Amino acid sequence: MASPQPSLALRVADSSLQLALRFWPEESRHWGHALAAELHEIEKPFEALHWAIGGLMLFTRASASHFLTWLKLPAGSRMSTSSLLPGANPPILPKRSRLFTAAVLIATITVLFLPQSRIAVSTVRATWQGFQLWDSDRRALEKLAARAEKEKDARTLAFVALTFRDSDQGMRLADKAVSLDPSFTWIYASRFYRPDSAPLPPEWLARLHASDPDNGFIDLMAADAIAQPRYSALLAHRTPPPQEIESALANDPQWVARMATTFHAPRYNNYIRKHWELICYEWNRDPALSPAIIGYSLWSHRIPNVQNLKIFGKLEIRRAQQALASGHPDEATRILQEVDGFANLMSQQKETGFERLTAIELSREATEGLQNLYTTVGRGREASEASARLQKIEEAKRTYYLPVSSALLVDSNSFNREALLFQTCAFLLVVCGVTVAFSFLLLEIRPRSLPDRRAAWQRILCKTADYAPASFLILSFAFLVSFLPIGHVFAQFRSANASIATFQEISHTLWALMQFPNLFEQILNPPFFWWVVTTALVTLAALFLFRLLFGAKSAPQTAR
Amino acid sequence: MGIRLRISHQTLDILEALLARPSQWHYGYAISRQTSIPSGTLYPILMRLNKSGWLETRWEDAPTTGRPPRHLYRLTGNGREWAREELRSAQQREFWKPAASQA
Repeated sequence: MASPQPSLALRVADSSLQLALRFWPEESRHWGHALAAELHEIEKPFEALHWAIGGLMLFTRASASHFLTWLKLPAGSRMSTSSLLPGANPPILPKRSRLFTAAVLIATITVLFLPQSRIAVSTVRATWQGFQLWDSDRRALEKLAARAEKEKDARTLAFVALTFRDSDQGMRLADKAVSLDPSFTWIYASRFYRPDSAPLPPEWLARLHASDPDNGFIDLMAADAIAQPRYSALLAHRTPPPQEIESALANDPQWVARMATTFHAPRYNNYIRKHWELICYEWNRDPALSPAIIGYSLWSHRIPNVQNLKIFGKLEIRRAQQALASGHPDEATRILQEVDGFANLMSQQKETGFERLTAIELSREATEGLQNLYTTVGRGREASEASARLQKIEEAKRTYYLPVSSALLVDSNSFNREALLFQTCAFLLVVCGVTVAFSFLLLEIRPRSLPDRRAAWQRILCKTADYAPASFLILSFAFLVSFLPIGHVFAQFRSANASIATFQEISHTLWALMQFPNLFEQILNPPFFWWVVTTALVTLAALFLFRLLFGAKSAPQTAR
Repeated sequence: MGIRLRISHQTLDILEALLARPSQWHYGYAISRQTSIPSGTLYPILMRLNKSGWLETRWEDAPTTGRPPRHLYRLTGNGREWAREELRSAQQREFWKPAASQA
């Protein structure tokens, strides 16, 4: 007579116990088999299920006990010694247990997850990625934008619009910010991650002119967009002589008109100060804002191509010389004074050193032209004044990049040392972390028995496993402590008046933080790096060949 | 055999069941039915008794065809003496009562 089909409950009970037996720890598996064997004596289905549940509880206890015992052993050790081959030496193992190592690593991770540590980690990341935005930064900006749109916060919208790498999204947010608060019209002057040659949309240019009619910066941006395609076309396949570039631009009436308007403007404001105020506002709202976002926003501000100023300045000075030569000294004087006037205006802005230097140089050329003109027409007094002014301009050139305020927040020498220490701690922390990971990985997956000649490596591996985790913990504290002065500097910048002095200082401090990664970049510079790699490979290949040849020659001798 | 065991009510019930026929081998399910102790509680106690040396175990010699061999349990000689002493002590302390007196 065929045995009746077991009930569903019985089959479930049996299957679950069989599954548990597959993973049961070896040392108590026979008890699992003993429990499972009794299942066939139980007739009632739910009693069988109850029995199986008890079995699963036993399995859980056995696994937990096995795991705890495993944790108490050092890395690389096996639970059963029967895995050793007969006659083999017992394995060389670290002294510290896995439990100790796990506790130390958990403590390290806790330290690294403290709020200040997280800012420190994001600072390191920002410096090593050159203050470019990663996906996590983009997501943070998207969250900021979503919140700002919901709360109708024009200021945050303007900040995000200026920092987004997606030009369509940035321009959309810019429109939204301006519609909420027209005082942010200035953000239309930004590039919004479009190519330099992308012209300013006409409606934006009109709005900028309407909101800030006397600002020469706006027409300079418009002229830049006209000139950029010409630069690209001329420089595509060769380096043309300067006269060719000058001639190409001089023959473009639109560019000439824009530059003329720029040089006639009574004001020059590149909006860096406004942008910096916006950054300070957001940074104060969220002190944990990624330094990558701060740096990227700071340095993505649109700066004019000063070539336009130099070229137009030269053209104007040449026009003045032609006017003088054709007997129109007053016209020549007017042209040169206009150039000098605009250059003087531009040199008074404190935001960027290279704009100031360009303006100072332009002013020097115009003043030189005036000095020659006054000398030519016999106006000695004006010529002397021009000469005295030239001396002041030379002095201004020597000091063009000095900080604008003597009340510095940061002592740059001391900060450079602190930045170097901070980056060194970060680097050592990463190296130590990788060492910990590799040493434990190698210990856990090593073959069961190693030849004697590998014993030295095994000892090194065990010493590393013993001391690297503690070093990792110490380095994490060192990393946190080394960041404290830098965090303090950041806090000073956030709380200080968002003046242009602080804008310059924050730029310098962020650059100072990049000195370590820049050094690495130089070392890993492709030509130098590949030269080192090639040399190393060639040396290894030569050693290998030498050993092969030398080893082949000595083999027949030992056979005798 | 010097491991100090935690003697619970369930452990005493199991000792009483094993002492009922001390020289006989007992199946796990039979002990469970006799003492009404579920498998999740029974087997850890059996494991501890075995580890202490009070309990001996063996697999049955001729299992039924189509079924795996069953595990059998019996108190060792010293285990019987120890179990009787523990039961007596627990009864005196009024910590535990034999199953017969509970019925």
